[in-house]
Parts: sequence; C-alpha cells; structure tokens
Amino acid sequence: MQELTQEEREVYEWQMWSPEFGEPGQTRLKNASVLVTRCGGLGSVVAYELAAAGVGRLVIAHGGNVKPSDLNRQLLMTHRSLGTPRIESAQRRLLELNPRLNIEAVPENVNAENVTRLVEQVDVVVDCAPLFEERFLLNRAAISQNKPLVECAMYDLEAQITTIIPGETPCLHCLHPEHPKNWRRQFPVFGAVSGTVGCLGAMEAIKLIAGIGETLTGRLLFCDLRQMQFRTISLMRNRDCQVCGHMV
Amino acid sequence: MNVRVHYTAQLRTALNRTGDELELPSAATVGDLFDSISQLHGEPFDNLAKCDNGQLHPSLLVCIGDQCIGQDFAVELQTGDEVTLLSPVSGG
Ligand SMILES: [Zn+2]
Repeated sequence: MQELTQEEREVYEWQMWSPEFGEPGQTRLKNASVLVTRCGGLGSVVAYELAAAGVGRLVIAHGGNVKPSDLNRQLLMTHRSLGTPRIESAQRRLLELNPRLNIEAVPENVNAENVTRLVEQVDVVVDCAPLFEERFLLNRAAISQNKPLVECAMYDLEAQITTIIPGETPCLHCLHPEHPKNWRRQFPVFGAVSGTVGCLGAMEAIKLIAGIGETLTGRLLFCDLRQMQFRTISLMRNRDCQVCGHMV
Repeated sequence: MNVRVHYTAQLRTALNRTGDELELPSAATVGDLFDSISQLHGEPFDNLAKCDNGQLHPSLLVCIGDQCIGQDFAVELQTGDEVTLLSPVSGG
C-alpha cells in the first residue's frame, strides 16, 4: 500500500479526525479504485465527492456531448463546455479539484463490449446510469467479479439507494427481474435531488473502502424530498435469481 | 379491512396521487389489493404495473410497512397495513 504524502495529510486532515477512519482509512482510499458510470446528475456528484475525499483512482464512463439540458444537475459540466465531450469536462473538473487523482476517462457509456474490462479494474462500482439495459449489464459483471455495487436512482423529488454485495444481498436483478414496463427514460428531476443521492452514494463507497459504519446492504433507503421523509426498507434476495441465485 | 397504499415515482405521476385507502375483504392478499387498485384506476395503473397475465409487473417493489415482500403476492394483508408500491427508478 502506498503511504500518504505530507500534502495529503494536510488536505485530508479534517476527515482523518473522523473516529475509526483516521490515517489508515485515508490510506485505504488512496489505494482504492472506483468505477462511476455515468457522470450525469448522480455520477458527477459521486465522482466529485470521491475525488475530494482522496480516492486514488477513478474510472469514469460517460458518452456524448454536453447539452443545455444537462446543466441543471450534471455538475461536472459547465456552460463553457457546451457541445464538447462530457467526459472531457468531467475529467478537467475532477483534476482541478484533485490533481493527485489518477483518472481513466472513458468516452462511452457501459455496453456489452466494455463492461467486463471496466469492472475488472476497480474495487467498487457506483451505478448512476439511466438505462436499465446498462444497469443490468453492470450488475451482472459486478456479481460475476464479486465486486460491491452501489445503486443510485431518482425520480422527481424521490430517490432510492442500496448497496449490493454479491452473494450476500439482493442484486439489481433480484429487485427488478424484468425491464420495467412502459418505463420512460426522461423524467423530472432537480440537481439538488441527484446531488443528494450522489453524496449518499459517495459515502457508501467511502465506507465500503474504509470499512467503517453500516452500509445499505440488504436495505434500500427511500428518500421523499417533497415531504422530507426518509425510510429504510428491508430487501429480500430472490433465491431463483438468474444472476445471483447460484451464490449461497 | 382497511389498507393504505402509497404510490411512488412514475406510478404516482401516472395516477396523479400519492396513495389510496382501500376497503378489502378480510384475508385479502397482496394480489387482491392489486386487483382493487387496477379496478379503481384502470389503464394508468395497468400501463405501468400490470403484466399481460394480470399479475403485478415484477419490476415493481412491493413493501408492507418497511419490509419488501419480493414476488410473493399470496401474502395475506392485515387491517391497518401500509403497502408501498416502489415504481422502478434510475440514474441520469
Ligand atoms: Zn440477484
């Protein structure tokens, strides 16, 4: 394991005061790698918080160019970067915050060709993708490679988040064994909602890496920001799950 | 018996309401509850929540109180139960 430099001890001083975390926790973050896909409303904030916290290596995957309708929530995209690749804006903003960060910036979304390789090179995966096809691919790869997967999702002023540990907790396929019916890809959302879930997702990844606290394993946090109500729902594994049912 | 049901996300938008109070016969199951909701709201509910075979679509998460019940829709409800239908949501 690579040790912290003096500069890193100064930058991360305030979080190293956190009980049970300290320099050992920070050293684990430095030596860890996380895949964030995509870097939209959720993923921008997940990646930014992980960069701020000093995770050593981020793999970010996000296709397409910055559009005006990205700017209410995709906080790594800027007005100046309109029309240019989203991944370049994301990478630039992350390195402005933390130039020590090792980034692999992949200018495409998760697909059947790249998913194995993307998941292979990281310790933790944070799924922030909008399409269920992408999310199912990521879930399958994370389960088969035995990697923890944080699932972040939202709609309007609501959010759902859970952490998947292969073989221990329900996987995404246990929860949604089929593609949703008549599901609409575009939906109402505020940046403050995606930002809330993004921070929660980043915190889950930090806890998984540092080994502190209780993660949302086997539980789903449901946030209703319209009513400001938060509920934790106990989840069940599907023993007949096609993806994780074989894991005892 | 009286059961309260809560709708979330796309389902809440489609039905334009956050929930319903339903009067069901005693020993009614979760499946019976769906039938009542389907009769009450018709197409906007069925479009998102009903399979071709009339069952609840498996992509919805069903919770009684704070416990998700998986795909077992034969579970009997108790009076005063609060059932939440978590409509699938995603990132972006
Ligand atoms: Zn599963």
